[in-house]
Amino acid sequence: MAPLEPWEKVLVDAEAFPATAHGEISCLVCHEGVQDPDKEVAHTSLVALPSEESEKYCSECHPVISNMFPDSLHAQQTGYWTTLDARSTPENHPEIEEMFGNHCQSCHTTCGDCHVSRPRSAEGGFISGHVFEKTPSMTNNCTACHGSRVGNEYLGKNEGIKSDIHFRQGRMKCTDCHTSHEMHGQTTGCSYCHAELPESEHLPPDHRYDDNDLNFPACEACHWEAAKGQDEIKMHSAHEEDTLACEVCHSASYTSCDSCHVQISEETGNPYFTTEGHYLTFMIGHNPIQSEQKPYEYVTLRHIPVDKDAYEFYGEDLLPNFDALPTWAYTTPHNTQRVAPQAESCNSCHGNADIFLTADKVIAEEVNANQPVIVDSVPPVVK
Amino acid sequence: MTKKIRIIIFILTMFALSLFGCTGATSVPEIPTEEPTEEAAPAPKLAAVVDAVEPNYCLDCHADKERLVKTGEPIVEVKSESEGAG
Repeated sequence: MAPLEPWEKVLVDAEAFPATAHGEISCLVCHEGVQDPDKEVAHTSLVALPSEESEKYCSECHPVISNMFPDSLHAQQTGYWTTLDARSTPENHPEIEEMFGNHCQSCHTTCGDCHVSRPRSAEGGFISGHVFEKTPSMTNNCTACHGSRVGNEYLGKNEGIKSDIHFRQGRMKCTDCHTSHEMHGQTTGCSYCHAELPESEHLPPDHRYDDNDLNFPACEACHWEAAKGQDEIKMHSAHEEDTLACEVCHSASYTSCDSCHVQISEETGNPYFTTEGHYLTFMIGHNPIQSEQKPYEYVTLRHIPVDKDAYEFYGEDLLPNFDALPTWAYTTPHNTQRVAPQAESCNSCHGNADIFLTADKVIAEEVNANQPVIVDSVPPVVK
Repeated sequence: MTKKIRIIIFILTMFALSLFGCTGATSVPEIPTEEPTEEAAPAPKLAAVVDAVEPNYCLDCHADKERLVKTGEPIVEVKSESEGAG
């Protein structure tokens, strides 16, 4: 995505914006500053990104969402901390926190990053002349951050692999599956907004596959007959229920990455990263996070770019519990195909050692970490 | 019709009009009604809403491409030192 010109980033649509609800509010209510024709004076005490403090600037009109959002994964990046805490120790927290602030926190998201501008990690800029968009733009917002894996898969940007059928044929956007409840962090009970629903309480999710988040997207929500083996497709009833995640049959190859290391540049003082590998894989393994909502025995796995020495710039041995989590992680590739290569016939999968994560495919330093997901033997050929 | 009669008619007409004009100002006691009266619209919660009369210097500038180009900060190109996919 090409960056916007500096003027383009802050150009307000003088016709469209004043006609909106936000356009009826004085600029100073959200941005502070001073009404003055001189730029320097006008920008005195300017708050460029008011939704960084959503409780102060957004909550008067949007109290429910402003109350929930600070606990959301987009705001807190709790998923990062869940894995960092598992692999690290409390004694290493100061160094890990410093690393997190320098490198990971740039992905922290505010209301404005989805509804007004491109996210800051994509260099910002209004998406519709400062008109607040209720539904974020797939390309300007969602894949601006989630681009190198999910975006490329969904939009078919990996060479030789078709885009996701939900996009190709259904023209579905991210928000068709990832609802506002999920995005805003549904921590209060449903009855908080929907008085007719029974009272309930959800804890903030620990990561995006957390069962506590009741609003995660599920294939079964639309394709429940297929999931139960109750449709006309024989393959759907060939395996016992909950043996295979949908992606095992319906995903094409997707991106894995190796060895991300982070540092601060001696030359410029800026943070930077280096990843050593970025390649297409398709790998089936055991489900490391089996649960009521994800009961499958076999799932697709993606190699994530974590490394024992990933944060060595900040201190020695900061991940002493490196083996606590697999480096081949549960994944839901976003390139769904009706008939993917491994599902063309029974023996496209059965007996096909290339697509199962057996121990010989895992590097020696990571074998222990991946014991929960490694498949002992490939399912035999079907005669 | 003579000029004199015309003047008399004009004076009488003006007199009649002035009487009608005063009628509207006459206070008539309001008959109490049991119909519910509408509540006054609540005052806007926000401290300030756009006043169409006041100048909006923010919008004047931020809707003017030429001014934004002129007053924009010079671009400082920061070359990313990162390597590989993020």
